[in-house]
Amino acid sequence: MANVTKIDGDTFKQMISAASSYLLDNKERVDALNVFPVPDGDTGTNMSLTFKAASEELGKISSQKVSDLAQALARGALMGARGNSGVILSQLLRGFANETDALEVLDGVALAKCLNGASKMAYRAVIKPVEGTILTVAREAGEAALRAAREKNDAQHVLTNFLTAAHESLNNTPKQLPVLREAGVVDAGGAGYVVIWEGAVKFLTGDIKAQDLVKVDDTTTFAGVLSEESIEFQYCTEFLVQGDNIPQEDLKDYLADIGDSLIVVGDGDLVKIHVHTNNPGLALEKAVNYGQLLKIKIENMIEQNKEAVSSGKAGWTTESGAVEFKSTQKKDVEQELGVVTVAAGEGISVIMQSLGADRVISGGQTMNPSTADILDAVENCPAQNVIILPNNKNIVTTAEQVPDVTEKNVFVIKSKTIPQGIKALLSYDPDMSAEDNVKNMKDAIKEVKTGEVTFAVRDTNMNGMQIAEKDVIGLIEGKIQTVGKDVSGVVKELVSKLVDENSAILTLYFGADIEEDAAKELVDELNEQYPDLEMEAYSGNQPLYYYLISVE
Amino acid sequence: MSKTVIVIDSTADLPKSIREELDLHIVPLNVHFGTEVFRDQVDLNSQSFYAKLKENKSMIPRTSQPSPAQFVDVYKQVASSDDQIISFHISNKASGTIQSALIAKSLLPEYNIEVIDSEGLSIHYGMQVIEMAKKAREGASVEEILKHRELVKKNIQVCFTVETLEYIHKNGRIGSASAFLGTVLSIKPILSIENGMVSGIEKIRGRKRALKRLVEYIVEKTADSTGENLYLGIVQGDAMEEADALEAELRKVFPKVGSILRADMGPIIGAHAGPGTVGIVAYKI
Repeated sequence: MANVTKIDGDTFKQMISAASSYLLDNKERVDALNVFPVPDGDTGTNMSLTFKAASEELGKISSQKVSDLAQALARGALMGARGNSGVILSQLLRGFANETDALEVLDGVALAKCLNGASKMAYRAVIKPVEGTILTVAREAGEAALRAAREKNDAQHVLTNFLTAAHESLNNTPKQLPVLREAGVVDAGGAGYVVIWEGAVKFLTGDIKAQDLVKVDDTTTFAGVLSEESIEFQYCTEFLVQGDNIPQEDLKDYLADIGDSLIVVGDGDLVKIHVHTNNPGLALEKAVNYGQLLKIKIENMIEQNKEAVSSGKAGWTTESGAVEFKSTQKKDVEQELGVVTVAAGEGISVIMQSLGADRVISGGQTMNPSTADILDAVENCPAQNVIILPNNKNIVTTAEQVPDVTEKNVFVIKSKTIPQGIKALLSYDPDMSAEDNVKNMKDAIKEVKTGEVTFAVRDTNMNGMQIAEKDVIGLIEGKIQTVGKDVSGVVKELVSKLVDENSAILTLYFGADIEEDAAKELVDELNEQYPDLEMEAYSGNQPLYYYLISVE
Repeated sequence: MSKTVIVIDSTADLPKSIREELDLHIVPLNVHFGTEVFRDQVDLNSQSFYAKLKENKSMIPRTSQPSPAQFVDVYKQVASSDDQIISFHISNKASGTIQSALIAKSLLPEYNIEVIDSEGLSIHYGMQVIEMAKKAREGASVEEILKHRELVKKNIQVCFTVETLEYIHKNGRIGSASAFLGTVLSIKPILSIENGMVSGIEKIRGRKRALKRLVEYIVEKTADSTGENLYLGIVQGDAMEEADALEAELRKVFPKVGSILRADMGPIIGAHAGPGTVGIVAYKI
């Protein structure tokens, strides 16, 4: 298509319709970026539906004046505005329309005025404008449009410059808005706005036609996040071939048949291959004919993509290419207060982390961590004030050495069992002072009773009970209370001693040697026996202890 | 003669009888199940919403604010440019509803519209509406109505608990309650509303204990033992029996309390809190 110096009514209609389809095609990618203001992943959907409603309004009027069309567009957006991003988009379109005066066509200067007016209206309409959002993108790009129009009164020139600036501004958003930086994404609303105008430019340059868009141009990729369906070839396959006179053209032809995103580069003796394919084996087999294979790397992109989507980590690369925002690792943020705990078993560790423990040291009965281990965790904990939960009688003493050997302000809560540690964490509130937390956690520990079911390591006689090696023993607060041959039997007996009329909740953490089904069966039996208790079972995965029992 | 009109949105969760009695004009928010869109309380009432939730267990419904055009329509319908409109809404931190209302106001420069943020959700917002509407009915000026509402807002206490954290989590509007999320143990959190956002009060294990704690919290916060001058409201989403039990409990601790507002949590707040949510609101004036 020839350069479009002026946009007339017909071009405007088609351009908007092209942009609308383009946004619809890209909406999932925009959704995936959505973390601000509310991370509910619907920005792309809301913007595309809003813009669709707006562009459909164009079909309802007969006027060919750009000003009438822009007004219709704004009206449609206002009626169809969906979600916060949709509402802001409606204000951008309203601002655009207000600047069209009564123009029949838009030249470069008029278009720039509209694009700039869009952001002005949006800033006025939004209650609390936040930088690093669609507002910033619209404003900076609008200003670039004004500059471009001064260079050359040419609509396409203005819009292209507008788009480049919008891309740059978008890639800058994580620097302005911490929540974006943390999540490693650019602003979703800004991205939606860029996509709209990218669609418009692609229409003007003839790259796409109105309502004729299915595939997204692969020059616009949203690094890390693709919709699952859009991944045609699952495995990203990379390797080097080392040999003599490797026929690169043959390799290229072959690989192009089994995949895409093909790169074959090298000097004949060493060739680097990159291909996305569903048959990485075929690629390797073909290449091994020409030499030995080095640095083989095969990655499953569907899985990676799931992770990227679920973790909300996505970046955005643009066709302008120069600026790129890559996903960033979430970092430990320095806090006022942190918690270090000791736990044995993956399940227990996960539960403690989920309750706010910043560092969990692996250890427990028979594997007590040293003072140095605990100190290390305290030093590593991203806080100046650190609470330690030893969760074992023997470790309490070790932990009490730590305050003397660190500059940090350390508090040791004398939690002697895992259930005590979990109970203490339940009352932990990182927004309160260390002192208040210590008090609450100490109080909380008093509200829980701990039972432990394990086995005897040798023959012994205790509390008048004859205990043989390997017998199952039940302890309450660290003291042996019952002995037997059968795990479930000992649990039941222990529970009968733990539960009284004040008990409300019984929690079983089953150990590494207990099957989940066995634990569930046991809970069912206990439930029948104690219908008034609320009961829960979790996999603690702890060694040595068949069950840890907590009664509150 | 000019009149004062109160426009609210559907998240106030006020029963129909009260809406009609107080002559409130309501702009609905939208609930989305996948690509299906329903206008809150117009196309979808609480009962069918919770039924739908059960049918579509895997689907977390979404919600969206009314469009500015919806507000323009309602404003024009209920008032003329001689009248005074108070457009009073769900917390701006939880929803963009106020944003749409403000844009509508800017589109109607000839109208007198006060757009006010309730900083509330559900009946925490709804009970403020009731107080405003009562004042309006007494013939109070806009200024007096707003002043009265300030007073109520200052004294209002709220707490609620959810059956599952899944909905709060997936819909993302968590505010400072985020510390309650992601816990592996099944936590029944005691939550409140602070500065227009959901905030966490306490992590409780066990539903029964959580419900008990709600009553204790209200007793503590109102520092009242008779309930004589206390206004109470209970809202529930698909948890009628537990709400009944709460009412009985509240009547025990506040023997002199008058009528207690009972409300169904509507689809919008319900989509974010999930089924099994129960809350109490209390204030004295």
